[in-house]
Amino acid sequence: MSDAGESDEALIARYARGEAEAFAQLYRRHELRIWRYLERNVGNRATADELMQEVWFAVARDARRFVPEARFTTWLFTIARNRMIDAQRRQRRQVSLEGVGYEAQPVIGQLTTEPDVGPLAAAVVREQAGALNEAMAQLPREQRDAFLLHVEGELSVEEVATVTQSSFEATKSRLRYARSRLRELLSEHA
Amino acid sequence: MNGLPPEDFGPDDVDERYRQASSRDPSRPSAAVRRAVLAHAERQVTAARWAASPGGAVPGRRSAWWRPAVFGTLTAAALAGLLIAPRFFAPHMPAAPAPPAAEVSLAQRQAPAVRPAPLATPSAADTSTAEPSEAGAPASPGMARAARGERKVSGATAERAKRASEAQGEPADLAGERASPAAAERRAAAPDVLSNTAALAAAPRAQGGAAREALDTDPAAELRRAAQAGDLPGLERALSAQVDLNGRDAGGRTALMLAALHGRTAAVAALLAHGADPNAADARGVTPLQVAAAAQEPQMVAALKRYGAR
Repeated sequence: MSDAGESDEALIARYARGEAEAFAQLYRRHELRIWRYLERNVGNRATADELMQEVWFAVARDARRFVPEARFTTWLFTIARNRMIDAQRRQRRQVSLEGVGYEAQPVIGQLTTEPDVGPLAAAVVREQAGALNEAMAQLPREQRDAFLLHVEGELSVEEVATVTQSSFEATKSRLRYARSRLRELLSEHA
Repeated sequence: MNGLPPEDFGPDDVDERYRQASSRDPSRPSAAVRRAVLAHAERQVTAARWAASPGGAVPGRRSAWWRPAVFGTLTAAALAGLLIAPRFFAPHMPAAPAPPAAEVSLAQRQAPAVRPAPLATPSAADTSTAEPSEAGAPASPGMARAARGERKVSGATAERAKRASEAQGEPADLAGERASPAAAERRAAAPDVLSNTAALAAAPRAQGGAAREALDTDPAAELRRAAQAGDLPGLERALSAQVDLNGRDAGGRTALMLAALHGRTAAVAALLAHGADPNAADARGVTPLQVAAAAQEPQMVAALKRYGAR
């Protein structure tokens, strides 16, 4: 991967040896894709932020356990997915957060506009982003998860199958269904 | 990254459309999360260095949370001490007046010892209530103090005996005399006085124990405990008991403040939803919002603000 030419695996190994700057590089490199993976799965920015922090804390804590033979992104997205599932279980089991202000607000309502974008352009951007998020929200959970891992996380089908602990064929099938449904949904907004 | 998807599952126009739309999405993770993550990563490195160094201890590690916890524990212990300790010293009643010296000496000759021998020989002042003794001078200041303690109990005994006698129609002076050394024989015949004295000493302890038990089962204390621990099932139980949501501990901290101090976002949200006062400051004037902001907890800050925290 690379903005700096150094592989993710080399960076995490450097961090495990005590170089904090290597971690900062890794974070910058994967920040957005992990956050989008989380946000589009949970549909809530505040929860995505909370999970984001948990995921990277876990990466920092367990950096020494990373097996150099594995791909860093597979490991990273496995952590992200596990944290997300844990959070969803907690949410179901414990206090209903919907009643206390953590209702699943559509992400479109939380989008910020860039400072140098005029009101009209901002509205267009908002509309496009909203359409994408609406489309993602309409996908079945497993299809959305597989699609985001594949496209946002840039994982191969085999890696998606590993992360989701599914068979290769089941993963391929989910991806096909997800693409087909997204094509329909995005065409409606085109 | 791995670049293109594998050959067995080639790229698709939907993937590209998704990427284009996604790249135009201006939403980003919060800067506070970034700061927290990078700071955490640096702390991990520092901790690993310290752990690897000779000596191994990590100075100041997690000091942010243990200080308030220790302070709170000490404060609670001090408060419990203040509540319970006075019971051990009650009742403080005046000693009965000293009988004439002649009566004392007569009593010393006649009355057998009815209690284990006191540790000190009664002085002139002691003759008011002290029992006759064969013992010599106090062996130590501690023993002398023990003897004085005995006098205090005896004075209380005298007062009680006097009141009881008055209730039974006895003259007051006779009742006072019941507590004097001259009444030792009568006291020997009424050992319940001793047992009552023991019961009197034990009562505050029993009451203290009951108070401690009451504290343990206090719904407000349970609510604060659950809030601090982030124990949501426990919190739900406490909330269902119609407890005072804004009850405070010794440091003036409400359950909401304790949840905020310990980073329990879900507990904070649950308490707010049930009507906890978002602006209830602790004894030092610190509010939950200030705590959440200082701890860089954006969700907690947002939840508090939604409920009117200032």
